[in-house]
Amino acid sequence: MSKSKKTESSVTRRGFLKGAATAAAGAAALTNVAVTSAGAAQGRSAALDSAPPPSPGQVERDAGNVRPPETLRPGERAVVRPGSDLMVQVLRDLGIEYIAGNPGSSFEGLQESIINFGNPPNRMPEFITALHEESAVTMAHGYGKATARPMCALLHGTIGVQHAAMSIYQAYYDRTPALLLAGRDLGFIAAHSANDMAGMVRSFTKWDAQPRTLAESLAAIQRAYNEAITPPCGPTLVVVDIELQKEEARDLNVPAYTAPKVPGIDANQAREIAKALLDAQNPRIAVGRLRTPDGVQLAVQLAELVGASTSTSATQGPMSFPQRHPLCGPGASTAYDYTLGFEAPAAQVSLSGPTLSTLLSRDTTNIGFGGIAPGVSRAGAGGAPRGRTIEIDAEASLPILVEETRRQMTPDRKRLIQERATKHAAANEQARMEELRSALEQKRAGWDASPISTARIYAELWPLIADEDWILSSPSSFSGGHNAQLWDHNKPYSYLGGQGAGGMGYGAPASVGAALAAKSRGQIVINVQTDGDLNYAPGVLWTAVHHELPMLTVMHNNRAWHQELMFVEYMCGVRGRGGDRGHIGTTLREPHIDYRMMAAGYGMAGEGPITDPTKLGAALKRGLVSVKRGQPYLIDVITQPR
Amino acid sequence: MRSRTQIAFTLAAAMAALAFQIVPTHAQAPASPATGNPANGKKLYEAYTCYACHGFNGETGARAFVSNRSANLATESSFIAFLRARANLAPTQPSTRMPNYSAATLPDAQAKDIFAYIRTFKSHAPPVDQIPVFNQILTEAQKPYKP
Repeated sequence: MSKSKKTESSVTRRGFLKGAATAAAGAAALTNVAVTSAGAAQGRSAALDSAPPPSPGQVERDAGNVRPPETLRPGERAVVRPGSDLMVQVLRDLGIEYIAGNPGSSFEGLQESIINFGNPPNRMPEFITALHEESAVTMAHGYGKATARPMCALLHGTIGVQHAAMSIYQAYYDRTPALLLAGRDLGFIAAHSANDMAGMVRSFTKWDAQPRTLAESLAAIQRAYNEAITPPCGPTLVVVDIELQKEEARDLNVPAYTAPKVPGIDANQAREIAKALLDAQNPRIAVGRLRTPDGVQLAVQLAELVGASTSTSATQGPMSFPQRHPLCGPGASTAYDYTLGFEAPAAQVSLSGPTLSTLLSRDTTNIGFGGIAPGVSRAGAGGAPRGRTIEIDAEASLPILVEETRRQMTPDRKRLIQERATKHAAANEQARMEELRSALEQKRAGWDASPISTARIYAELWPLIADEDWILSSPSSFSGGHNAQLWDHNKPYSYLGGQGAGGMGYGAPASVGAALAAKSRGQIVINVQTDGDLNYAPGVLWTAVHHELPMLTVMHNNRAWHQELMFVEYMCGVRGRGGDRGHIGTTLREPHIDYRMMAAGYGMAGEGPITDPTKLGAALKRGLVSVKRGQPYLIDVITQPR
Repeated sequence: MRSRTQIAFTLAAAMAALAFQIVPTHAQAPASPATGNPANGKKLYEAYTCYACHGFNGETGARAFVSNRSANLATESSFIAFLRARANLAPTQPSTRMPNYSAATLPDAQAKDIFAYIRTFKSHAPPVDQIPVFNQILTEAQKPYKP
C-alpha cells in the first residue's frame, strides 16, 4: 500500500467519528493525523524532526475534555458496541484463556473490552498484568509449550514490539504458538507508531497483518490463531489500530471460524508404512516433539498396536512419548529391522513437518538467522537425517497410520506383537532401574556438601511431586539436567525444555505462563530458577503473586552467569594472562543478591538463602503446601556451580 | 607460516587435552607429599574459580576431584606440569575445558598451595542406600506406570 493510500484509509477509518460529528476536539484530532500522514507522503523525514508539540486535540484528549456529541440524549453513549468488544468475542470463541499485557494507550480500547465486555464482565480471556512486554510474550511461550495452544500477549506500539522482540524470537525458534496483538495509534505519540509496525519482527514471526477495517481485524485474529497452530507453529502478530478498537461496530458480526487442516501422509504412504511396521520382527519408533497432546496419544496408540520399542524426547522438551511407558526404552533387542521417526530422525523413514526454513521468504532483508537460513552458522542446525524423510507433519499423519495399521492387523500378528511387547516391557523395566541406580550412584556426590549440590535439589523434589500433576517449566540444562535421570516425564507437558534460542530471561516468565495453564487444570509448576536468568525481568514474580499462580521457584543460585564464567576462564588461560580476574563481569557478588528479599518485595512468600542441605527438604515441603494453596513460593538455595 | 603455527598450537592443545584423558589412572589414592599451604590454596582455589568446574568441595561439577585418580593429580610436579600444558590457542567455539595456568600468572609455589588444598578433599557422600530420599526415589520407580 502506498503512503497516499494509507492517508486515505486512515481518514476513512475515522468516518464513524465524523458521523457522530460534532465534537470540535475530535475534528481537531483528525486534522492532526491527516496532516502528519500527508507530511510523510511528501517525503518528510519525521526522524529528522524534533518531536512535535501536542496538538490541541491531543491536549483535549489527555485532559479528558472531549464531550459527547450534543445530538445524543443525556446518558446516551456515542459508541455502544465498540469494535474491541468483537475482538474479545473472537478471542473468547477461539478459546484464548489469557491475554498478558503491560498497559499502553495504543490498546486502551481493547484493554477496556477485555475487562468490561459482557454482563457479567469478561473473565476469558483474563487480563494478566505483565510488568514487561518481554515477560508477557515469554508467558505466552511457556503457556504455549505446556498446552500447545496460543496465549495472547498485548504489545504497545513500536516500543512494546521492541521490548517483546527477543521473546518473540525465542518462541519462533521454539516453534511455539503465540498470538500477539500490537496496538497502533497514529494520532497520539508519534514515536510509538509506525507505518509497518510488524516489520520490526517480521523475519521471526510466522505471519502478521495490519488490517484496515474492523471486519478485517476480526478475520485477521482468527487467521493469526490458525497460522500459529499450523506447522511450523510460531508466534503471529496482528497490528490493531486504535480507531478500529473504538469504532462503533453497529451490526457487524463475528465471522465464522474455520479450523485449519494440516496435511498428513496419503493413503498409499500409510499403507506402505503400516505394512513395514507389521512385517518387521523388531520395529522401532522414534518420537520427537509432536504438536499437541492428541499427537502424543496417537503415537502411544500406534506403538502399542505394533509392539514397537520407542524412544522419546520427553526429557528434552514437551509433547513426546511418555518416558515410563512400558514400550519406552531400548527394548528386548536393539537389532531393529524397521525404524520409523515422528519428528525425529530414523534409519528407514522419518515424518518431519515443515521447518522454519520454509518461512525464509518473510526474512525480506536477508537477516539470515543461524540454523534457519542456509550457510549462516558454523554450528549448524543439527544432525542430518539418516534415512528417507517425508516432509509432512507427523501428528497429522498419525490418524490414518493408526487406522491403516488396524486394518492390516491379523490375529496371528496381534499375538506375536503382544509377546514382543511383553518382552520389551520387561527389558525396558530392567534397563530403567539399572540406569536409575547408576544415576543415584553419581548423584550422591556432594550430597551433604554446602553449597548444596544441584542434584540434591532435583532428588529432594521428586518424591514430593511424583504423585502430583506437575510441570517442570524451567530449562534444566544449566542445573545439571538431573530431572532427566531422576524424574518420570510421562505427560506431554512434563518438561517444557529450553529457551528456544538460548536467550536469558526466560525461566521465570515461561514458568508464569506454564502456571497460568496449570492453574485452570489443577497442576503445579516447578521452576528451578537460575539466578542470572531471573534478573532480566524479575517483575514476573509479582505477576505470579497477583494472579495466585501455583508456581514453586527454587533458586539455583550459584551467584554467577556460570557458563560464561567458565568460557572467560578458559580464554584467560589460553592467553596466559591468569584466571584470577575471570570473575569480572561473570559473577553476581559484592553484594550477593537476596532472592527471598526480592520475592518478598513483590509480595511472594519464600525462604532462604539455604546453605545447609539438611534443611532443603523441609523447605521444599513448605513451598509445595503454599503453592497448592495458590500462593507461589520462592526458596533461595545457594548451590554448587552446576 | 601463520597457519602452520596455528596447526602446531592446535596439535599441542589436542595432545594436552588428550593427555588429560588418557593418562593411566592409579588404583589407589596418591601418597606423594603435598608441600604447599592448604589454607592459602583454598583462597587461590576460589580466586582462580577452580570451583567453577570442580565444585566448591571437589565433589561436584563437570570434573570432580574426589575419586579422581588421574595421574595428573598424583604428584605436585605432575599437577604443575598439567597446569602448564593446557591449550594456548582458543578454538572457534567457546570452551569449558581446563584452562592453561602459566608460571607467570600462577607461580609454582601457589600451584603447590592449590595442590595441597585439593589433597584435603574427601567424599562426604553417604552410600546410596543410606540416603532416605534415594530410597524414596527407588520406591517410586518400582510403582506401576500410570498413563
